[in-house]
Amino acid sequence: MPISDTAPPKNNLILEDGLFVLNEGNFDWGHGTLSHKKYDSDTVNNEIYKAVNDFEIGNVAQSMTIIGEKGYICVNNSGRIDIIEAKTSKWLGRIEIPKSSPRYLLPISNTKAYVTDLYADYFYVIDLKEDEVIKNVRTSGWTEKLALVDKFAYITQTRTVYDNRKGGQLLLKIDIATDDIIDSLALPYGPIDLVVDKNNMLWVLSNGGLSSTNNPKPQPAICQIDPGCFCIKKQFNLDSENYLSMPSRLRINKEKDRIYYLQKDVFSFSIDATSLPKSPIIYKEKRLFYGLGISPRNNDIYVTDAIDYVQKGWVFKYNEMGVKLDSFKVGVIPNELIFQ
Amino acid sequence: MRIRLLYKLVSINLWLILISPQVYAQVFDTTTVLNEVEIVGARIPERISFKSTTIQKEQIDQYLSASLGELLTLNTPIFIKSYGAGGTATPSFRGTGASHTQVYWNGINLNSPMLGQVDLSLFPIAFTDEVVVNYGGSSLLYGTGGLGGAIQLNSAINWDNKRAIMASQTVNSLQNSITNMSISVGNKSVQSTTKLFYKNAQNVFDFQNPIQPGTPTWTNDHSAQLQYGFLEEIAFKINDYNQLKFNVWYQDSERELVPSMDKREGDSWQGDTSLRLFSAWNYNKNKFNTEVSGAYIIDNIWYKKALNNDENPKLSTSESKSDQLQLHQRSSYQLNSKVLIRGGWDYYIDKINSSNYEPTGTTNTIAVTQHTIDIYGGIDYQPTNNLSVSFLLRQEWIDGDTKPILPSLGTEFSINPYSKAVSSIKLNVSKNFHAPSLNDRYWYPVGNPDLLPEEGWTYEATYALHSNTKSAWQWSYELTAFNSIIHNWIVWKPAISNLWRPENLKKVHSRGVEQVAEIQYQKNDWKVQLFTSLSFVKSENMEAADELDNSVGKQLIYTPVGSFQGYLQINYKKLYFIVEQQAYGKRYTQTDGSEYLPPYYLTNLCLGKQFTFKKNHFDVKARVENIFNYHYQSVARKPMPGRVYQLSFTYKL
Repeated sequence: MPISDTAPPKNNLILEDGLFVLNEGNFDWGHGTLSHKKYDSDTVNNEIYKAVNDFEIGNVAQSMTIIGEKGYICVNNSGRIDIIEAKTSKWLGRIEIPKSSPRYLLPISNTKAYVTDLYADYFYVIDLKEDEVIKNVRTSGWTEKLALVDKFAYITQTRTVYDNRKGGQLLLKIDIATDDIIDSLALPYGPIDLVVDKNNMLWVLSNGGLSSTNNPKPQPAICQIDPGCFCIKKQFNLDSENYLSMPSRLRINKEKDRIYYLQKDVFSFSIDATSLPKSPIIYKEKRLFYGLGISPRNNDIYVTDAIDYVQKGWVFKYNEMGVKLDSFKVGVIPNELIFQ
Repeated sequence: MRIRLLYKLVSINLWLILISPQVYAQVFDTTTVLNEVEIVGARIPERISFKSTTIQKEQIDQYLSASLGELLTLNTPIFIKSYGAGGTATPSFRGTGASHTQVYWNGINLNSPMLGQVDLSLFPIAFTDEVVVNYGGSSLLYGTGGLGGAIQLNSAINWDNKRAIMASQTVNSLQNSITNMSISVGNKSVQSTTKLFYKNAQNVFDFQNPIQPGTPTWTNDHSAQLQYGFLEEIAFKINDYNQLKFNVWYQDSERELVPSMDKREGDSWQGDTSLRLFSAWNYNKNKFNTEVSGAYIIDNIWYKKALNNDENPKLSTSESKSDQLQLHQRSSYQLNSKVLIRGGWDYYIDKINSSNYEPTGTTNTIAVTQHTIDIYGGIDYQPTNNLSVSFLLRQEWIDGDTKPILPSLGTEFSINPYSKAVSSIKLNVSKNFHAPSLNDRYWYPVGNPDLLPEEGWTYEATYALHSNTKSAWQWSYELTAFNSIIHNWIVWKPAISNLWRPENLKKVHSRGVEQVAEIQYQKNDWKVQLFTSLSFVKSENMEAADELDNSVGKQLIYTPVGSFQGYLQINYKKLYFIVEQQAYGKRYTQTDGSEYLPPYYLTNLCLGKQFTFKKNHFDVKARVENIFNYHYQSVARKPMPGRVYQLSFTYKL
């Protein structure tokens, strides 16, 4: 087995008042790791999960959702969801979904959650009491991000690069009582990210996809969708020279009135804006920004850099104005920031 | 015996024999009487003053059930990275990448034009009669791209042969079965050899899985491989000066791809089918030697992955087909007793049809064509009995683009050619480059047509010493130091949205030492051979794109600094016993060196006996691989087998 040079964290570490960083790890032969940093301490604890449990998360750790005392980690390339005690990262169990590629999990009620999937043309309904899959709901593509507004859940659906079916660029509307897809809304190509603002409006980022016969002119866009009429209220188109400048990572601040996204650099705009900003609030300079998170405590902006994707990455912290405050080293391919 | 043969082969290069490393190898020829054979690939003499070593047929016959990767692992410092039992095996030669080792079959390049590399697990060793390893610049005689070196697989023709039959069966405790057959018939003017190969490998073994809760014992049951093929070689001796050869090599392989130890169930499969048609005309008269050869090679690769758990799962598939036409001419002319001039040209047309080169939503495949032409010329000059110089110049054009001109110069000085311990020094310098593969250039949507070739200079020095007596003890020793810096090293790097893109990212400095020591004792019914090969290679990235990149100055991932291969063979009459030992130092799995695979040591034992009954020869052999049941990984989190018991039976007529 590979041997890591990371110093193990202290025994009986209590993980609170801080943020988790979930590091994907290399596809197939690598392993995901969990890092934690307290908001007001300089100490970063890396590879916590492995130290506490003596085994590994799996590879391509995609997301972690904290529900009460538990953290649910979707391990995309290992086809499962691992469950930990959020305070200690002690392993509690797992939900195995063979040959699946779970992406994100959203609690729908106290007893139920939805999980999206990259390839399978399904989303899964999870029983949170028994921690098991109770239903597969058929979709027509890659389901990614989820949001809950009133009695409906919304899921973005797109297609992977090598999927040559036409269409399928949708926002799905699901009745949470029956788990049925009751409506879908066609969106600009590549809906990949979703947030809800203070007025319960949905915002979707479409990355434009890649140029192909189904998609001759890639056009990334950010759309505001009114769940009432289930229609697009606003659409901001973004410039895109080629796939290297695809936008990603739609995020929202604590007050839910400012939206952030990555397009090489970090951009931000108000939910009342009539156009997108011309210049970023944070320039990437000689780095490659990969992940983005906005602290629900004080709106600090956290950005991750995966460097060459085969070594330990970094997290940079900026204040609301984009002034750099801090940086710390985490694990391989830091993907998700989970704030406590 | 073999020495005489070699004299015959290269009698025009008598002086070459005195100092050619291939001759040292003859010292270790065994008592087995070999018929006078002619080695196809060596008729155009290897360059003097450059390093190459030969693995003879005798050694190859011991490993009839092995793949080329397994043979190289035991006999050369080339490090083979293996994706689990039965998985893809790629070479790292002197700390370079997989595409920097070029593989030639009778002078025909076999590297996939799509991938730029070879999977050494797909070459059954039974299909070759001789393996020549060309180190570094020594590969330039055959083509470009061998920044680490080249491996030649050559066929031999025995013109004295009337009939020869060989059948061999191997089984092992991984539930693998390997069958080989070969039939040769012929006379003084026509020779035909037919070889068949069938491998049904289940590769089943249990392993402990420490990355799962409670370290359960799992069974490795998703790396089965079915591999079969045939090779037909026909040669015509038209007269003393002209020979014609025609070969057909068909091979098919299907395998399950090993999942990571993260996952209980495998979900991917791969298939590789190749058809290789080869013909050559050789003319050898009055100090002039030329070979014109042509080959048509079709490679089909498919990949399949199950994407959900339905009864008829949704599949992701990709399929690529490459057609390649190669033409070569290689000539040499002995101007006088001191000067040999050589020259030739190579022409390649590659055509790829791939579902991966094309935007989705259309007809699914796209065709890409590439033309490559190469010319080379050189001179081997021997001013005195103990000094030789070799110079070669090679120029390549790809799709009309002029590539860097590649000079290489070597010199060898024999210090005391007639003493009891002959020592010599070789020095050489060469420039080489490796063109981006077609996947690097055209893979949708990330293919990067503007990629520059990887290129660099290599400097090398070898000190060699060997015994030169009639004693029962014979020995040889060789120490080589090399140094090379490769610019524009291509790395596939994630760009965005889970897409990887090839870029000229790195500058790699690779340098090291290789030491080979051999000793042999032979008297009456006893023969003892000891072979050891030890190498240390530092291969580091020197450049960074991101200011926080911590990979600068670190050894490249999956490249050991230290490696050792060795074997001890004891023969008593018809009984033989072999111990093989390999050891590899730690290998980083992350570019910043923050995680590594620990060193590993593999010991194999083999006990065999030969019988003869009338004209029938039998060989029965029991082998134990990894006798200490060492748990190691070649690629992180891909399980490798522990102890394996193997039984082989070979019949020869």
